[in-house]
Amino acid sequence: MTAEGLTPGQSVEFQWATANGSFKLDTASGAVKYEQRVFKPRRIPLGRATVDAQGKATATFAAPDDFGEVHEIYAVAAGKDVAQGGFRILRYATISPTEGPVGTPITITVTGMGWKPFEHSMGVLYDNKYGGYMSAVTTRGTAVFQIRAAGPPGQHTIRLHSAGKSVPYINIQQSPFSYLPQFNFIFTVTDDKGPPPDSVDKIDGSRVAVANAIVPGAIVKTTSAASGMTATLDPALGPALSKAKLRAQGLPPSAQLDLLWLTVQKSPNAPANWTPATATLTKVTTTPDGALTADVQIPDDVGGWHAVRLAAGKDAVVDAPFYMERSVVSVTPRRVRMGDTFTIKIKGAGWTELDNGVAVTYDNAYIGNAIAQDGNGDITLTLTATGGSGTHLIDVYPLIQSGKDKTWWGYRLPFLTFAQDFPGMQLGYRLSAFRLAIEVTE
Amino acid sequence: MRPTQALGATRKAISSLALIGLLGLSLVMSAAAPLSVARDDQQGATPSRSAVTLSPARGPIGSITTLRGNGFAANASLDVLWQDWDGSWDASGGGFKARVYKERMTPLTQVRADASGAFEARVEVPQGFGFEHQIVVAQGGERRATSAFFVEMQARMTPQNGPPGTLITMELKGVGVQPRERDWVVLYDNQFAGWMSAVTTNGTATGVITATGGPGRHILEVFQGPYFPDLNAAHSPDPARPTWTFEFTVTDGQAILPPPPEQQGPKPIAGAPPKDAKGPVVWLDPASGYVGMDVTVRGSGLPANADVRLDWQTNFGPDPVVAGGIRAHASFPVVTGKTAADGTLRATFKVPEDVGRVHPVVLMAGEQSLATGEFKVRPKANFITPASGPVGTDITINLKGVDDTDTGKIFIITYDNAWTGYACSVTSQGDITIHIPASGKPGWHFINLYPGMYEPVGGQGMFSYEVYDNMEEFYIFRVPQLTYLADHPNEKDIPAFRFAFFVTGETK
Repeated sequence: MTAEGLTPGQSVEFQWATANGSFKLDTASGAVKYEQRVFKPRRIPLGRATVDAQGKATATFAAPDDFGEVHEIYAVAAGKDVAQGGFRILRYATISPTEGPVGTPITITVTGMGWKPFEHSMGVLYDNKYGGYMSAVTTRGTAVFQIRAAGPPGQHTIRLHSAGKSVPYINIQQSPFSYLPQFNFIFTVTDDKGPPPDSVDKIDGSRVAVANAIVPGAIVKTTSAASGMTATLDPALGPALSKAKLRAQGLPPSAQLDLLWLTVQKSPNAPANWTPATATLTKVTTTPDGALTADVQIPDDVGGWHAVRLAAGKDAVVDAPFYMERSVVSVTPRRVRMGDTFTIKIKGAGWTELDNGVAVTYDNAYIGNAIAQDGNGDITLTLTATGGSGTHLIDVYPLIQSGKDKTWWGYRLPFLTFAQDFPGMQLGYRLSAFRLAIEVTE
Repeated sequence: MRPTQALGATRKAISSLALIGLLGLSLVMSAAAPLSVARDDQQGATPSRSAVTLSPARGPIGSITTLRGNGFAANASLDVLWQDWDGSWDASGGGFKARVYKERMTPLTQVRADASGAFEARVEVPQGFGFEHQIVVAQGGERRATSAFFVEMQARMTPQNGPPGTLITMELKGVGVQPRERDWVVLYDNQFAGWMSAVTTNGTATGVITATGGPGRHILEVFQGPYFPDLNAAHSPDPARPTWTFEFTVTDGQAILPPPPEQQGPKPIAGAPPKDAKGPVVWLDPASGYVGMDVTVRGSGLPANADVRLDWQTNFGPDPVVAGGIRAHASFPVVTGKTAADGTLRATFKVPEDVGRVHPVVLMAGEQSLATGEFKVRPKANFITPASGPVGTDITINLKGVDDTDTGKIFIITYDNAWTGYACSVTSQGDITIHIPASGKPGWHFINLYPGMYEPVGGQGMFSYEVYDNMEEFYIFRVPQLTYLADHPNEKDIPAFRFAFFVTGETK
């Protein structure tokens, strides 16, 4: 990198222009809503150089691991921009593996996704069927996710396509964004060995806010305990009807306390709204030294953030937050005649626009979405078996129900990169994808 | 709702005035029991509590229900009104703004209460929008009683079988007007095939998809859903939303291939001289057609033996909706010639590559404008190439003359009835070229390009969330509008284009 025409002897700093990506959420209204992606411009120092006698400053740097497309590079001296250049990070994509039986997880990696409109989202086409979109808002342009090999033995196409609004913009080469590349791959399905076992793709725990923390903005408000009082659930997250161990200390000695479940319920006067609610689980008694250990049966409830509360009468004593994960209860039947229906039951769907719905693909083709609406976190998917004899895959992905992105985004579409780049992660939401399968018979 | 028989206490011959009105309502006459609807001034005082009931209170279009009323004035002549709507798209300015349903109360019939203030009438549910309708019984223009009738939706698929490429018609009747009633979507073998609307078609939605896949049974499903099927209907706040499942059997036999590209799309419309033309005029024949076709410019009343040129007007530049700015106005000559001694003109030119829309043309003599005319460019399918190849083959499809409005500039692509994405025409001046890798089993595969809407626009022609704010129109953009033919929001002559590609067995 060379800057010319500078003042000899001056020290210049080279700065890399980029942006920090984040998700703006509305947590102030008592609900938790996704609003939009926010990219805040910023600069990163690359290094310094001294201008030589010819007014030239030269430096070498490695391209940062960053968003794709053009980044301005500034030479800054004495706090002022004295020269400007640019560097383009190209988009690159791989899939792995490239062959395997039906159900093989295919890891797709894309680097160099941008942060500007039309540069920041891509769609996945499997045999020309739209299967969802990828994002790289908080991952600095890198998207890593999985789909599964589907269809009869033979070659199948996987196309990673630039997306205008999360939907592939098929002739983008004729648009103002013609510079964006598309990627075509062939995956060979080698065999159909029958339905693979169900699996759950969980969120990348290293990227999510720590569970057991008080949730900002959520309706389920935890209380501030008196000094020395603590309460935790182990585990602090799990599905409906799971068990957790409550451990507390610093409590009043030998006291009988109410063990309450903090939740939300649909407002009877406005079913679209949710209001705080409390359910009594049981009564417990602390030890003479103010400790408590109790088994807690997590209720069958809406998913998301809750808390178990120890209370003395009307007074809250201490809370232990709990995150209820979504879970698949059943897929029935597993062997389905062509044209017959099968049912997938899911529990623990949440009450916010971040976690109340799922987007569903069938053999990697998006077929629809489901929003939990009846107030108990249940989602029942009744689907029809299609596609001929053999194994067929159903993948259930997180989604964003709606938002106000300046450039329309993938509302209600499969959020393929949920594990690393989902809006709810900053609030501790831990959403999973469910990988399911059936065998279709004629 | 059409009355089939009125059983009021007083039966009189139908008046000519009532007859005119009722014929417009597709009155179903009963020979055994002539309809008794006539004006009568001999009415008693109106009781305070009038009521009507319907039995049954729900049914499909064409079903019969019985309307019973009581508590009306003795011998009163009553008007029975049916809540209905006139649907329209607000696409002023070339972009979607809203769906508009203007409510109206349609007179169904007149009935006469008996001496006790009661009446009974059998009526047939009329064609129209579905879901809940209010039936109002009025006397002298005043509402006396209401009851609700729920019009059940119906769905039909025809035919039930055929070889690959068979065009399958999906018809919905009784589509509603409310947000969770008016958008319906079609799945083909669990692939999203498109969206059906019935805004301007009085509740009837008709869409056509292509039979694809290997021989055997294939499943078509119709779901309610803005944008995509609501798969959680069992737990929906409106569990009454129906779904339908149909089986289509792809038979062995010769595939039915779509017409060659050049035979698809709207036919050219012949041009004609302006009526009552006085002075210099020009007109184009045809007046509407395709990029590259021959057009004859004709004129009369022009200066004799004058050297003239025809300037074609358009706009150039990137799509302002995605790139900002404006498309610059441009004008360029498409043909030059010389007028005849009698002041007439006849010259031929080829329609230039341009966006679909009405393009003004100006006949110029030097810098003097002599007369203006116009030509409407319509979309055309140009080519698909190659016609066959193994999986992974780059299939190239080209369209010309695609419109530049937000409701006309995109085509939404399906591959074997699976939603693939969209393509836009504006920056490329009406040209759409798409590349699709061939996929699927060896055999014929079908690629359809449907009209649809890009996104809602605000006052400046730019993207606007104002339309979205009510959330009712959040999800109807960039999806295939299967009902484009009769219910397109704006342009009424944008076709769907259908192509076929043969996947060969070899490995690429």
